[in-house]
Amino acid sequence: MSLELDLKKLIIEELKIEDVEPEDIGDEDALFGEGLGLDSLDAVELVVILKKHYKIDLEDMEKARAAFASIKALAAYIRENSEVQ
Amino acid sequence: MRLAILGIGPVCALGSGIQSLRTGLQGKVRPNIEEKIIPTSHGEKMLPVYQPVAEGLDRFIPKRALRRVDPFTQIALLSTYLAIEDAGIAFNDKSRVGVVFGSGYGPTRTTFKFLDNIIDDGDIGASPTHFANSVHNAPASQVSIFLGLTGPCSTITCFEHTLSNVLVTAWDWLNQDVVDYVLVGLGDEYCDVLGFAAVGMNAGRTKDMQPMNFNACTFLPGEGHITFLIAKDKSHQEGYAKISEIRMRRDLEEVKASISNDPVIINASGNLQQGKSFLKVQQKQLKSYSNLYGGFPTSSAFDLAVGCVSMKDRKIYPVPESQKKEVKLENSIICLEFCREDEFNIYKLE
Repeated sequence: MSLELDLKKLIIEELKIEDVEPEDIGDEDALFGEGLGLDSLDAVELVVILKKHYKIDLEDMEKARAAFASIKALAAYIRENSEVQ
Repeated sequence: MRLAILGIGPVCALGSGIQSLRTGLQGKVRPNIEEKIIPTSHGEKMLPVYQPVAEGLDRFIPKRALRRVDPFTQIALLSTYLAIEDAGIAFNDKSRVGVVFGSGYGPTRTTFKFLDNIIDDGDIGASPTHFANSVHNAPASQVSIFLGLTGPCSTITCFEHTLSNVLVTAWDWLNQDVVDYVLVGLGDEYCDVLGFAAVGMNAGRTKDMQPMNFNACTFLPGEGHITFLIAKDKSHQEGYAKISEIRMRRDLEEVKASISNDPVIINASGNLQQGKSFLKVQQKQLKSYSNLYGGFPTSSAFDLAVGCVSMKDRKIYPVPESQKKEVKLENSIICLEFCREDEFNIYKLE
């Protein structure tokens, strides 16, 4: 299973997104705002998910903003920074 | 002043809604009991646990709106909506509706999940959603938010005294004319830690709870939430019953003097310490229905609901598994809640 698909499943499950399947989320779709519709509390939950599943501490907000832009950006950030993939 | 109980929303092992409780009393449905595996230093133990059958919340709230609401608060919301629906009342002035909830242990599964994450991953592993849901006041707050209620909102946790304190608070708000209605909710959640503690106290040695056997430990834990819609007693009101007395921390002598020929519903749940005290009450008319919903600190609120249903139906239902038949109810019912050795709370329903 690709990292991108893993992330989509994780986000749907951990953030309890109703009525959305992994195939509904495009790799380059925006996660926040008009895309998937995540909000600021979800951003904090994403930090927790990265720590829990990929052992990544993401504390720099500027880096987080870029990494959380889309599934593609998030997967790239994980590939760069995690030993667990 | 008497408290009128206008609507009831139980969510327990029998199902969701007042009719599920009634059919349980009629022996037409059996409680949902799940076997849990509890790891101990002496190996794994099996523990039967009464688990709620929560159905129908999506009739009241869209699923998407519930994604940050944990299961404990979800059953509290469900029981509240069911109580309001049962009463058939629309709140015209939402500033005149109070919410007072009670729980012995609160949202235990979420609380331990939150703590486990901090232990495993440090501060960064602390989910803000888990934190928000782990607060004892979360269910009452969510009820206020979803229903748009702006009256007083509070949560009381006082173990075996939770029901009495919650009812006294409701009584006080109504008596001071702060509100016209109070949503009184009580519930507890099972978790592995409580299961471990229960096994340590010999729970699970029998597969079934025998609440009227005061000489053996037959305790089995349970989980559920129940909400009552309560108002000041007015003669024209429909509803179930009136609470005419709430007496807290009374000794054996006063308990014996309080009981005439009325049926007495007790919160015996197979706990030996409780059993020793109930044995001393020495009354033939003691009845327990705990083997319909399991044992937990606020399960006495379900006893109160059984009393209310009995008052409305004008009959005393036989104790589950007793093979006896229902009998006609003459006047009133006493609910007797064990507090500690030889000390009880007394509630009178008329």
